[in-house]
Parts: sequence; C-alpha cells; structure tokens
Amino acid sequence: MTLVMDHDGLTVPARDRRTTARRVTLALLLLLGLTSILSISVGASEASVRAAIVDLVNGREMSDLDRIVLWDIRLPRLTMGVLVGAALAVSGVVMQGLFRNPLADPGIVGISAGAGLGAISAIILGAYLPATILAWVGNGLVAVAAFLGGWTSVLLLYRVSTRRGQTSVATMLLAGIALGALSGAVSGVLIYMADDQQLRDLTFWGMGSLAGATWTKVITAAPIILISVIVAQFLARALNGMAMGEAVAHHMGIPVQRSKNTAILAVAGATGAAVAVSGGIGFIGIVVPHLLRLATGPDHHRLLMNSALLGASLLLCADMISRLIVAPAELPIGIVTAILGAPVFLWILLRRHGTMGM
Amino acid sequence: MKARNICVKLRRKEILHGVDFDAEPGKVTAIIGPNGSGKSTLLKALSGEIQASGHVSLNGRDISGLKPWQLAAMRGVLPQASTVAFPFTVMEIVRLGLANGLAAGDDSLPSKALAHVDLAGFEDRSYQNLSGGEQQRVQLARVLTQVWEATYNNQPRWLLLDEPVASLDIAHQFTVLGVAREFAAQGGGVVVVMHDLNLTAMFADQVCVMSDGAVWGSGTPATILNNHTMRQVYGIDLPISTVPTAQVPFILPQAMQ
Repeated sequence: MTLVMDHDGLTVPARDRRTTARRVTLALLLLLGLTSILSISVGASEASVRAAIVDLVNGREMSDLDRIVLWDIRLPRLTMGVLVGAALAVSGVVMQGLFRNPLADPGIVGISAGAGLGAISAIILGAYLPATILAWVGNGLVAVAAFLGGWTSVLLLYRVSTRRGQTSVATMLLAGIALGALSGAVSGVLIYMADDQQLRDLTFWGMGSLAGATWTKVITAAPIILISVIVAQFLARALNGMAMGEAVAHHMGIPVQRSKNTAILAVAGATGAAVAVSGGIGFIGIVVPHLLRLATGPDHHRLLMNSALLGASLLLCADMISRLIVAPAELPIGIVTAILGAPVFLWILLRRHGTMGM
Repeated sequence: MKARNICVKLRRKEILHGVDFDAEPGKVTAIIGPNGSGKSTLLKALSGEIQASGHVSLNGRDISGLKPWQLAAMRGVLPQASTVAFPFTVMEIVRLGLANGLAAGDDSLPSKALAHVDLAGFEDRSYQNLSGGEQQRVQLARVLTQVWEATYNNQPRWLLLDEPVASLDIAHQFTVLGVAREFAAQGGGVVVVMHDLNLTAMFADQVCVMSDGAVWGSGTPATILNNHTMRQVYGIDLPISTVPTAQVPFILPQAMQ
C-alpha cells in the first residue's frame, strides 16, 4: 500500500521546518501569555486585573470581591485550563504516534470512557457512602474515581493486548473499542439509577467544564499531568522511529517495548487526570497536533512541546468563549471544543478519504 | 556473523527448522529461495526483530544479550516495505538514521547518503508523494546514514537488506547493489535477501539457498546456481546459461558494459 497524501502545497523544506518549529515555539509561548492574561481579565464579574495590580503596587488591600474572583475563581480556572489543555493535546500526539494514525485519541482506546465510568460511579454511588467517609474524601471523590477508572482501563487494555511482551497496536485499538463500549454500558446502568440532582451533575460533568476549578482540584491533577507531559517530551525520538513501524524503530536502536509502555502510562496519567477534573473535553487532542503538523511537520521533537503550548492556549480560548457567549451563565467548554473541533476532524477525514481510502 | 540452529515458530507452525547460517565481513552474502521458503524470516531472526531459538552472534557477541542501541550501532536493516504514518519529508526520514547511529553529529551525512542512492536534491520532497522505488531508496539512505562507516573500532558493521531491488527499475537495481558491494569492499558485511537470480549471480560472493524453512545448500554463485538447484529447489526444468531458442528479446544484467 502506498500512502499518497497531497501535501506538496503545504510542505515546507525540512531544514526550514526545524527553524519554523523553533519560531513557532516562541510564538506559542507569547500566545499562551496573552491568552492567560485575557482569560484572567474577562468574565461575568467586573473584577479587573489592572485594578488589582494597581492595588498591589500601591500597597493597598484588594477588595474582598476582587480577591475572591481573581484568586479563588479565575486563577485556579486559568491554571486548570493550561494543565488540561496541555494534557489533552500531548496525549493526542503520543497516542497518534503510538498508533501511527493521526486520528487516534485517548477517547478512541477507551481511556476517557473508563475515566468517565469512574467519575459517574463516584457521583451516583458516592451518595450511598457513610457520611463520615464522604466528608473525609469530600469533592475529591469524583476526581480520584475518574483517575482510577482511566488507569484501570489502561491496565486492562494492556493485559488484553499484550502477549509475551509484545503489544499489537491493532488488538489494542479493537480492545479499546470494546472496553469503551463496556464502560459506556456500565455507565448507562448507573445513570439509570440516578436521581434528578445526580442526573444534572452528570450531564454537566459529561459535557466538560472548567467551571468547577478549585485549588484543591488543581493540586490533585497538577503533579500527574506535569509528570506525564514532561515524560512525553522524552518520547520524541521513539515516536519518530515508530512512525516507520515498530520493526524499523527496533532496527534503529529504539527500545520499542519500553517506549510503548512509557507512552501508555503517560497517556493514562495525562488523560485520567484531565478527565477527572474537567469531564469530557474532546477534540483538543486531534485538532492541536493536526494544525501543528501542517505548520511544522510531523517531527515529534517540537510537536510534543508545541502541542502542549497550543493545547493550553486553545483550551483557554474555548473557555473564554464558553464564559462570554451566554454570560452571565456559561456554556460547558466541551460543547465549544466540539463545535470548533468536530468540523476539523471531519475535514481531516474527508481529505484522507480522497487520497488514502481510509 | 554466525547463526546456529535457528528455529522460528509463528502460531505453532515452525517456519525455520534448525538453520545454520554464516556470513563474512567484506563479502555480499545472498539468501535466495522460492516464496515462503523462510528467507525473510531468517533475515528477521538475524536482525533480532523476531524471537528465535538458537544463537545468532554478530562480531562474536550473542545478539540476544545486546541492547537495541548497541545492535543499531553494529548493523542497519532495510525491511521489504516501509509505510510512513505521517507526512515526513525525505530529509526528516534520512535524518532518523543520523539521530540513532553512532555517526550522530555529522549533519552532512544524510545528503551524502541520498546522493549515494541517486536521490540528490530530493531532501525537501514529501516522502508520501514518492514512488515505491524512490521510497525504498530513501529508506536505504536512512540505513546507510545509520551505519555510514563500514567498519568501526576495527569491527565490521553489517547491512541486512530484505529484497532491496524488488521495486526498482533496472538502472537503480545496479545503483543499490553497487552500494552493497561498496560497503562490503570497505570491510563491512552484507546479507541480502534476493529474488533475481541474475543479479544474485553478478553481485553476491556467497549464496545461501533456502527451501522449506531450511538451508538447502550454499556456496559461490558459480557452484550453487546450476540446473540441479533449479529443479530441486524451484521445481522447474530451466537450464541455466542457455540462450532461448524462440525469438524473444532477453535482458541480462550480466551483459552490462
């Protein structure tokens, strides 16, 4: 099979692409700074960053309202947006490299569904827990359960698709679909048991949102996401090699099995933690890597870093839209990313359909 | 390179039954045989790509005890066909060999390797838009970049090529096998799976004939390529070195001037 993709109009010379990629990194850093400032400045409340800084410089106390809006609402939300955006985009890059398919995404191999099952279980079954335990685990219950659910599905997936230390990517994809369906079915049974209030919670969690961001949640998710995203940066060489096939990667001196294990764990960590704190935010993992591949090529050395930066910026933008479009109410961010992302996804499919028969 | 008692089982079916194989540095060793005789499987066992019982040693070291990067420094492998998942440029692919081999650092190697396989000026082309034969030569350039010097620390390096000329036009078949010969002339070892018996006769120093997952025989092209081999291994009555009686044109690479 010969893969023919009409990229000539878009392909920039290789050496130039490396320089471009470096410039893009700088541009994305600037963009992230800009979107961060915007994100913390806009919102339903009149609280203003400038007033707060002026207060700070002049040694005056911030007003209570300003402090609550900025410190307790917008800043954790900003931090969470950056973390989740980076986690989702980097998970996308790593999964796509692992599966050698630009449409692969943690959502596809059932990791998000598994994390979702964990969260749904916590929301519905948590009500049956003794009040003392409930008070002790508090709001973190959903987060921990979602993370455990994502983790369990990766471990199960790995058990099913690995034979004698060799993971078959095809088996893993199919097993992922089966696991996703199973998680979905069990979630369905649980939802059937839910009461009205729980259904409401579930619906909003499922659509994805950064609205519930608190410092507690940020602190729960940050270490896992940071470690996963940083570990992923070291997979660039392995993912480049595996793009030629696992055998070629092995011949090139890449420890294929170990790299695959690392990649799977990094994805599980990043996706599990992101789903736990923000629900089902889709398409970031597909759209971001795709745009960057068009701009600077598929070399993972820059792609991983640039995806983290662009993912963070894009999620912050989506979050701003979700806050402003129906202010003072807000739209779940998952809806915004789906509206922005689904057409891009379809566009990729269409282009591939014409040229690759896939 | 020495391989002793190689057995390979895939899905409980034994593909190779106790194969012994030797190749010497400075020589081109060809593996030939009918479809399904186990040529590619033997090459995969030699490269460490698939698990095999028995022993394969490279420069006196058992390959099962070597880490992937140690193996990569000793030998480059060109598989039969390579599909690439993303729209890499030719240069980006050839550079992959650079990043992993011991030649790391010499930025001029990828372009030299491309010129070597007659693809100078293809650096910025999109790999996925190339023809099958051009893609195959890009992959060879990547492998050459990985093991650019045929010897390293007085140890030979190895090129393992799986049907490198299968999708090439006749001129580039000469280019690629010429590269293999040159590598051997510089002291490296070349093991190459071949289908074309004429080219094998021209370019190989040693020929190993596989049949039904075992070595049927081996020797120099002059001794092993004979009517008996054709009948026993390929099952056809085809006298070699015989001019056809009918008036059809025939193109023999041996006639190259």
